[in-house]
Amino acid sequence: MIGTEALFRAHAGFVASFVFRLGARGAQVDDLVQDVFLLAHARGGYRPGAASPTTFLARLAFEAVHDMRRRDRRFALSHSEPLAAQAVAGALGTPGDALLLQRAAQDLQRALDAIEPERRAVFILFELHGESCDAIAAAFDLKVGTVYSRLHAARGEFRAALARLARVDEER
Amino acid sequence: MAMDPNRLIEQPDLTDRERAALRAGKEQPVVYDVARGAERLGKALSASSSAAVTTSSVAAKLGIKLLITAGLAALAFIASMQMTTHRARQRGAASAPLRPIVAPPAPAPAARPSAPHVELTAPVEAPAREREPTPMRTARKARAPTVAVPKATALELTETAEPAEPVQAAAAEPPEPDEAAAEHAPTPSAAMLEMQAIARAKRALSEREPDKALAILADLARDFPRGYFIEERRALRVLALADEGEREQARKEAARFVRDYPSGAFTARVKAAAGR
Repeated sequence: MIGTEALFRAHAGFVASFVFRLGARGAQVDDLVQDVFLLAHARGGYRPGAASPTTFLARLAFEAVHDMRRRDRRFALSHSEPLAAQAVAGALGTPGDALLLQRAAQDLQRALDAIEPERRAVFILFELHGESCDAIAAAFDLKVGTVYSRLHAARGEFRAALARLARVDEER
Repeated sequence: MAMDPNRLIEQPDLTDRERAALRAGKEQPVVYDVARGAERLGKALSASSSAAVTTSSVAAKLGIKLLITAGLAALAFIASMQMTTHRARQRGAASAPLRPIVAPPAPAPAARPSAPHVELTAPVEAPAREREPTPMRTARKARAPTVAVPKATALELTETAEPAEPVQAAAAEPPEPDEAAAEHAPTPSAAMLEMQAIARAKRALSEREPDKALAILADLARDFPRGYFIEERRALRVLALADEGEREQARKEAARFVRDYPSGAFTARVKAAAGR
């Protein structure tokens, strides 16, 4: 059993990133992080098993984001907001590096936004956070084959979205 | 354990742009203040703990522990925090420390500590109920996460216990000079409103007013068709129907309930109520 405080201190940043990648912005991120850990606490905390702590939290976060999206129509509009990658990019070497990273971060988010939410969650966990398909399947109550198929579809959507962005840039 | 596919970033046919985007995903897209978040969460959990009260006799008789989550008071706290934060922003004082808008605590009974310290640790006891696994694919259309309540932090409502109304709590705040800010203050969360309605329905049942409970539950089903507390709502409805003498309808709904929650925490009680 991992207590809520330890879970929070270890993974609050992950949850914030995850809900951001799912479309939350500004105060929504903080509110969702709180909701996720309250839910985790109410469910008795994380119990080690097939699901990792992060996939366990990601499941709660996915549902919390879905609920917020359903309740708040403004949620969907937040995608066009500029990313907060500057803070990260600014800590890197040259201004040129920062600019490249910022553009890559924008590309990433735009491509993620093009992926259907359930597939996007799988893609984020597997491709960006290095989770195993088994851990994702366990946390989301899916068969591992379903995780594979969602991942496969998400990859296609991700690459198609980036290809579209590249075409748009070429046409400018 | 099956072998996972290679990560996309390892595939040789990626374009530079694709690879750069995936690399960017290794960075945190947001800077999250963990210390402040932990403080906020601790206060929320502390608030929920200090509000714990004992269950009503009717609930005990029915065997239903309609445990309103730790989040009940916690969400009230969060709502008030949202309002405070919003107002602080309106005043251009984003860096002002967060402070809850809560009514001053009533004098605590001698038997209970007035300000219990709550560690941010998971309850020792098992959750009051375990939910059936919900396939991710159904999460979108079926429901938001349902909150199971650990016994250690559960709020079991008495006949007189009513969740703290955020409006009342806000009344303790000094007058707000900026009315525009108040107009745009966030409303209480849907989860909290839903919990309050569940509490009212449960109280109506405990007061032997099943018709009133059914009306509240009907409103709840209309307002929160995919809410946090669907299982509780449906269980309460079966109990209310049985109390109202609508035995055939109670049996029908109980059958559907048992089919949907075959091993739910309320299933045995729902069966018993429908079979009375």
